[in-house]
Amino acid sequence: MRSRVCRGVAAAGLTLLFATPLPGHAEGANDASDPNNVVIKQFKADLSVPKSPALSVLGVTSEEVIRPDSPKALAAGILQGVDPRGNLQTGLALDTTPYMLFSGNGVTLHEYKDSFAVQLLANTSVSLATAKGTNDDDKGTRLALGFRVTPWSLGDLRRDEGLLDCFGKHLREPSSPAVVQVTDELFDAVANGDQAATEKLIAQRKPLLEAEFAPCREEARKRNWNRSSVALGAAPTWLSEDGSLNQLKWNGASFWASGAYGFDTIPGLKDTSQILATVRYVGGESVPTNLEADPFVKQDTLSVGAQIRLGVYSPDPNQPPTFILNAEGDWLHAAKRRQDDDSSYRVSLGADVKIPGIENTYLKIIVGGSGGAADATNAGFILANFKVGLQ
Amino acid sequence: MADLREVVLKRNAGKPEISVFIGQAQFGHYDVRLRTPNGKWVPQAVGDNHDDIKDEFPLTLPLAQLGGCVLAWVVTVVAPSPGPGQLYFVRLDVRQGGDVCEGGYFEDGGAIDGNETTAGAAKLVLK
Repeated sequence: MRSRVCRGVAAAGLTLLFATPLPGHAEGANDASDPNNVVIKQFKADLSVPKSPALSVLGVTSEEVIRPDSPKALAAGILQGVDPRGNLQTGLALDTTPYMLFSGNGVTLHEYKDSFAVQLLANTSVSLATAKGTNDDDKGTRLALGFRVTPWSLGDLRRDEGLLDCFGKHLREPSSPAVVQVTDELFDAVANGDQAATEKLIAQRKPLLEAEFAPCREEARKRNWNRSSVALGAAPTWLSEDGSLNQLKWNGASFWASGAYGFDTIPGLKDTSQILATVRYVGGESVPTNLEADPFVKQDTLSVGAQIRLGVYSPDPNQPPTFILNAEGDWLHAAKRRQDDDSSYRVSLGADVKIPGIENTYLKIIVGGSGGAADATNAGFILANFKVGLQ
Repeated sequence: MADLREVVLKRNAGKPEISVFIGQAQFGHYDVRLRTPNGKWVPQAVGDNHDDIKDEFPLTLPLAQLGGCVLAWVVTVVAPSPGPGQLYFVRLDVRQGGDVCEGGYFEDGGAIDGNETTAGAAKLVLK
């Protein structure tokens, strides 16, 4: 599924839009002359493996994701997904890292840093979600199980020595005298057995410490935002037409693979540039059609996307680059059973040019377009706007 | 005010040692102090689990002076990746001659978002 971000007049600063139909493609999808329809097919391809593949594949956006803090809580969470009669309850969203849940209490930071196997297990998560059908004709209940693994990441914060050193420094010598005062008061409270005061002081200490750590986290974010990594994901799904557990039938699966290269050892690019690539395959998915007699059809979808961001010039290595090139594209191929295959693509090329004399403000120009789609959504576009900040 | 739990130290079992263990591969910092019966605080150890120093240390006062002291600790756990869905675990024990003293085992854990502080205290009893 594509994730399109429609960007229009809501972008910060002045935005100029020009949408043009591509030769040979249907018109009408975007009429930039109509102020009520300023919808540009400028896009941001979804190039990452979802954090919770099961939730993503079912389109679950619940904020109420159960993240169990004990094996018992995990069991309770799973049981919430089925009622006593064996019917699936919709709205379940559960996400956990099994190795850390069951064995993490015995894993030290040193053991994590020294062992690839521990890193692999600690960065493998499992998600589970249930959801109702996507429209009125689809009254079934869907169940998805998701797996996400990060086998390799140079931006792993648990292995960021600078971040860990920074935490240690701020705890040994807090910049805020309030941290020292609250800690001393906390010692008095616990030694006096004053539970109420202890809890109050612990609650006071948390935001004070997070303020201490804020510079550490910000520096780590700057260091790691584009570091090289690989992530994989999978989410098999099942459909129960009557909502009961024993009527679950296979409903296809999604697979993701995504890689990032951050020019980690190349001066001039390592802090400013990144290449992202992703592949997603969805097999055996039931998708709605416009045909009354055949409302659903099985479809296999393959999508490939890539993005290149090159910060090409910075007179001061400690300052953001003054000129950034962006190129982005994706290609999607859908094979529907008993129907013609459909392929489409989207591409864009852009540049961010720093406005001289105005801190952290850029003129952003993007040219792009899409083609190949049979549903009359092909169009080209030119977009220009001013934006503050690079991320 | 609740009564503090007691840790029993044996007069003939050697110098008591404290061990701090921080699990869930999180960063942890500890500060351990003793409060003497006359109310004076005596620092025992401050450290973290990121350096190469073992997180085990003997109490600094002679065994004979530990009776009636309060052992107190504040352990701060920091999740390098902020956000929900992570856990923390802290264990602290008091040992003599390699064995955990009676009443000398403490643990705490749960969900962490950013940082968590766990603090505790125990009265040392000499027998």
